[in-house]
Amino acid sequence: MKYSNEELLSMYENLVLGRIYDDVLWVENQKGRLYSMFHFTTGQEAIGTAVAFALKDDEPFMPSHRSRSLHLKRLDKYRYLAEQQGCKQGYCMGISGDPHITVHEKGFIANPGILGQGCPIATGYAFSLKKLNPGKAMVQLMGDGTFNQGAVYEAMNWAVVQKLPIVYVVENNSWAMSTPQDRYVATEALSDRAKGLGMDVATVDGNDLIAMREAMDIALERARKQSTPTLIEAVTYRVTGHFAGDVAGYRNKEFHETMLKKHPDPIPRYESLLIENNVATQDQLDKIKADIKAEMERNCEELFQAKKDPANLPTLEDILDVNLIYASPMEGLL
Amino acid sequence: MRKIFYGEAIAEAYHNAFEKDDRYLYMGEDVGVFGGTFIRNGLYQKFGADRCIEMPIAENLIVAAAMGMAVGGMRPIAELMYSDFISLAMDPVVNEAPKYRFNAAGKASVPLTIVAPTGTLDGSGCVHSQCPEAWITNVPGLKVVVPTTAEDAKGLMASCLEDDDPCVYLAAKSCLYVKGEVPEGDYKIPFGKARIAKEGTDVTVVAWQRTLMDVVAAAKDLEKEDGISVEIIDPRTLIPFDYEAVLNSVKKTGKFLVASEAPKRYSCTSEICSYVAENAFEHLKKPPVRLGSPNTPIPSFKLEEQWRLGKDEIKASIKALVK
Repeated sequence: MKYSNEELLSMYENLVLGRIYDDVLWVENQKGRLYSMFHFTTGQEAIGTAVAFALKDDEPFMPSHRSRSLHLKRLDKYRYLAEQQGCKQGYCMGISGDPHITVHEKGFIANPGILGQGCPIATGYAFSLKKLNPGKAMVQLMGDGTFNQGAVYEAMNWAVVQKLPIVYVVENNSWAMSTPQDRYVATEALSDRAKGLGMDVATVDGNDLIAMREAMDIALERARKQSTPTLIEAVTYRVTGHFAGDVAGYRNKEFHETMLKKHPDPIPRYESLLIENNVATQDQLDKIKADIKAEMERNCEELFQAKKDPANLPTLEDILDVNLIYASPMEGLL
Repeated sequence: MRKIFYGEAIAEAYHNAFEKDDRYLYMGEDVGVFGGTFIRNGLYQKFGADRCIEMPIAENLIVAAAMGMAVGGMRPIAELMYSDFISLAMDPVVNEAPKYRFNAAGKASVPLTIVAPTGTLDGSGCVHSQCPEAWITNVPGLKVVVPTTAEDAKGLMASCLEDDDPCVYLAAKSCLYVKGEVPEGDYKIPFGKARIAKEGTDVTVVAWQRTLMDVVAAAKDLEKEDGISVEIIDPRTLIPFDYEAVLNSVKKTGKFLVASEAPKRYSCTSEICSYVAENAFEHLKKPPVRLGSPNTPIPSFKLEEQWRLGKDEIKASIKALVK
């Protein structure tokens, strides 16, 4: 194995954190304690983890709305949770929320709420990176539903033309909200589209953490050394509904069962690998999970208490501050 | 003072910025050897293909990628060949660039200038002649610049290029080929400070770009023929807007007219007129007046001249208001 035991275990912690974060939050949601709209990463955590560890700490990324493990690698868990829950202790005063969170000092470029529009923005960012920080690369993630936006095609084409140091990762989970993929894709592999633009591509098992990590390493190294883009199609499956609370009544049961078998859960798969390679025992792994769960529950409790104090919540007065909207303010703007 | 074209004045502002700071970039369609469709800026010849980038016909990409560059530390100028094409870049213009700073709780900025030639000129028809300012002025987070004179064209562009927010600079096609006195060197004209294009006592008229040029011509006639003294205000920028200058003038004249060549319904004139009615009602001796073009698509060729709000209608309306 080319990764150290320490790194393999760090990846494991991040992988299970991605799962446990959503699980604990969902329980809080059900209890009506910490309510917010969010999208489960469940079953797709290996992609975010692989990206998070393949990137260097000072390299930027634009996440998708299912990149929880990637978010959590860079950000403080409590402050991230606070942002997601509209609390002032969050990274963006609790006014931006989970989907639009922007933390430049952590290399975290906002994922626009408008699907597909992130692709040209990230591509422009990669242009700046090449000019101002040569030798660095970045990643942008999107789902297979988003992949159909025209903006994606415009941007990827230009990234090839301009030789930009960016890796596009498509989390191919077979669903665009409630629409099954056979209604919106006719090609064999999504990566074929990027190949048609002249881009290097790879289709990878997105539920195999090591395979995904290795593909990311190759693509990012190419972006750093020769400044060219790559598209990685990470094949996975969306285990849950589209958003927290979506019972997915539109989903064909037989199809769902088949896909679950075809795309086994990345966590037990990775656990088996760690045990087989004597990196850890099942007991040790179980303890990691229990500790993370306990920590998340503590974070949720702390936040639940914090939210009772109105001083921790953003006010209308806060957001009517012109400096929040304009960097060069002047009379007559609001 | 020397006289140069409005388009040349804009190009001077580009060159001043490009020479000072190599983070400035220009990107748009046909801005290479061809030199740019309306604004022949000379950047490609002087600064090369790395800083004057010929873009694919993909307006969404042009603006969204420029926005990404701005977020990443560059200072891009994104050109749309016609302001009508802003429809293709509507998402970055209205949803992304103006909201990025807010989502970052004020800790990021988007120093992006979008330049788009705008309005009627030569009968180019319904999707190459529009004034789209009302499409975008309802969006918090943008600045919208509408220069009329060559001097303002350079000074306001210099302000856009130094500003850290997304600015939409609508360069009137009808003004591009008009010469005006333009100072040499680098100077800025601040946003939100209106220009009194002509002082007067009988009526306050607000207009910009082609309509402003018609208002000036109408006022000259009215002064000579009827002894009517028109005060003309050029707002220079629609966001921010110099409400104070307009109110001060209305307090003096007691009569108010606002005109633009966009279709009249839900136009920017509606907003300006409402503001005056709300804030200077007691000073108005007559109901305020709004003028605009018909609420129809713009016809091609010479019929455009009959379609658009022109000098005759402006003149008649001012006369009726002052009587």
